[in-house]
Amino acid sequence: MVMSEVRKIKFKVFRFNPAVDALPTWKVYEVEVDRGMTVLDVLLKIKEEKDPSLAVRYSCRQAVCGSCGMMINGKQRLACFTRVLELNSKVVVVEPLNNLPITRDLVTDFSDLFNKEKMVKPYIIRDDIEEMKNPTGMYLQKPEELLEYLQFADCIECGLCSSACPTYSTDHLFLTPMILNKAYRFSVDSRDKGLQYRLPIIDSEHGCWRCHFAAACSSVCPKGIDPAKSIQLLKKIITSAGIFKRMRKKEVQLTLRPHAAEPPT
Amino acid sequence: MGRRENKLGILGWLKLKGYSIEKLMYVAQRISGVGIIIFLLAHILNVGLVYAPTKELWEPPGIIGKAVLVILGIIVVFHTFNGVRLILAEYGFIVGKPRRAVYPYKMTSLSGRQRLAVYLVLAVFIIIFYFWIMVAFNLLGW
Amino acid sequence: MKESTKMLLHYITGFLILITGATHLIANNLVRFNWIKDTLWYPMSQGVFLAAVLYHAMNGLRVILVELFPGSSSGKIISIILTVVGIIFFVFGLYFLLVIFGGR
Ligand code: SF4
Ligand code: SF4
Ligand code: FES
Repeated sequence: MVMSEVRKIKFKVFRFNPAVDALPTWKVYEVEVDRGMTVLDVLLKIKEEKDPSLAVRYSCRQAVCGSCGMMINGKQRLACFTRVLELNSKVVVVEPLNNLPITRDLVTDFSDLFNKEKMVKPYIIRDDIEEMKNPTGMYLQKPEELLEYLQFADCIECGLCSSACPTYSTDHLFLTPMILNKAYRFSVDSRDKGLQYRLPIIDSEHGCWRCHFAAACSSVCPKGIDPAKSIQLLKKIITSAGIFKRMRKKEVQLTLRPHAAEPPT
Repeated sequence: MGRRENKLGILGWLKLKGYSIEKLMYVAQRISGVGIIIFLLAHILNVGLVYAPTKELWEPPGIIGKAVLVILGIIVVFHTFNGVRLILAEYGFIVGKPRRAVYPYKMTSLSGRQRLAVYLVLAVFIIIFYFWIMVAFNLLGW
Repeated sequence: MKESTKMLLHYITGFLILITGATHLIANNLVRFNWIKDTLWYPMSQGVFLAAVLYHAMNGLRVILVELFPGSSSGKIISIILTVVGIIFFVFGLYFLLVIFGGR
């Protein structure tokens, strides 16, 4: 492959500042793109060379921070994880994520999602408070117990799945796949005993049953999380826990082991 | 809902571009469901008010009524088989087991047994559709 | 009722409809199987069919409406209206089922 595979690509970029503009406008920039460039690279190039007023949110540039989600050619993608030439189109349309409030240009407001995330208590809940205060050992998990949640713990909270979910496009109270995936990740963890505290939120009118397995979330997730799977598994465990009063989850045992060193004070 | 809110509304239900075939099945399940409800309520009223007093066998009114019945038969078959698939999926029977997310990612809910079920539903749908068209030709007297 | 109970009922009634609805269609549309209508089980299964199909329909409608009009009070209003509609149709249907099959 020759290094100089440079192509001119038109970028149609959504511009909107809710504080000033009544309606959004589209700006077209023509950019020379080479083989390795991602959409984020191009947007930053536009910002540097053509239009410094363009607002983009990004941080890691390598698909681990989850800041740069946007609609690229009509589909939710991470700008830093999408090579322009792999899109195979002469015109690339870039918009902010659907269904989330626009802060400015390509930046969307995630506060609704993060508030909902707090509601499902995304942390391990235990009832042995004495042990939590003065730990005497550790909870060792078997590899198969780890595997139960490992896939779902990889979520970078980019919100692409929530943006893609058809339910969220009309129902602003829906918990959305990103949060339900979080809830499942903690509820199946063998160290966690908090499902009963999450149930009132997950099992509510706008909880996990508003998901109808359209699987749009799984078809956009950039990290292989498969939120559609975790939500269906969540439905399974809350049905058996809530109706049949039965949890199939095995409790992890506390393994007494002297700590190697005192933690620094 | 203002432009800032950026909600797609019902268009978000219907948007298929970029997503997998399950999204299409979801839309079809909704539309067929609403269609069946409309027929169901009309059918209860119709049979109750026309058939019950006279014990005359209820006939769908006119050619349009027959055409409605033909379309209804097709969507009922779809709704039924897709419904069975959805129950299996929503209780986690066919969406696959948790696995490590290693690149290249594979979504077990979009492949394997679940996807096979989608194709089965479509296959049954197409076969019944074919037979149904034959019945329909007889029914409509073509 | 919890949402998970409502949806479990939705799926159970779905399976009931699959059985009783097939009975309904076969007995009514295939001349060869008309005898099914003369058995005692037929009116009973049709009673179950009526109840199941109305629950399934009303719950399905509720799901769609709740997603279209989210809100804490709208959910309750939708549920109440649909329950009333469902009960009216059930009573109506049961009444005519009794009129039709009451002779036996
Ligand atoms: S599940 Fe996937 S798409 Fe959704 S927030 Fe996590 S990484 Fe993003
Ligand atoms: S599978 Fe459920 S949560 Fe995911 S996009 Fe579809 S409806 Fe939304
Ligand atoms: S910049 Fe961090 S995910 Fe794209």
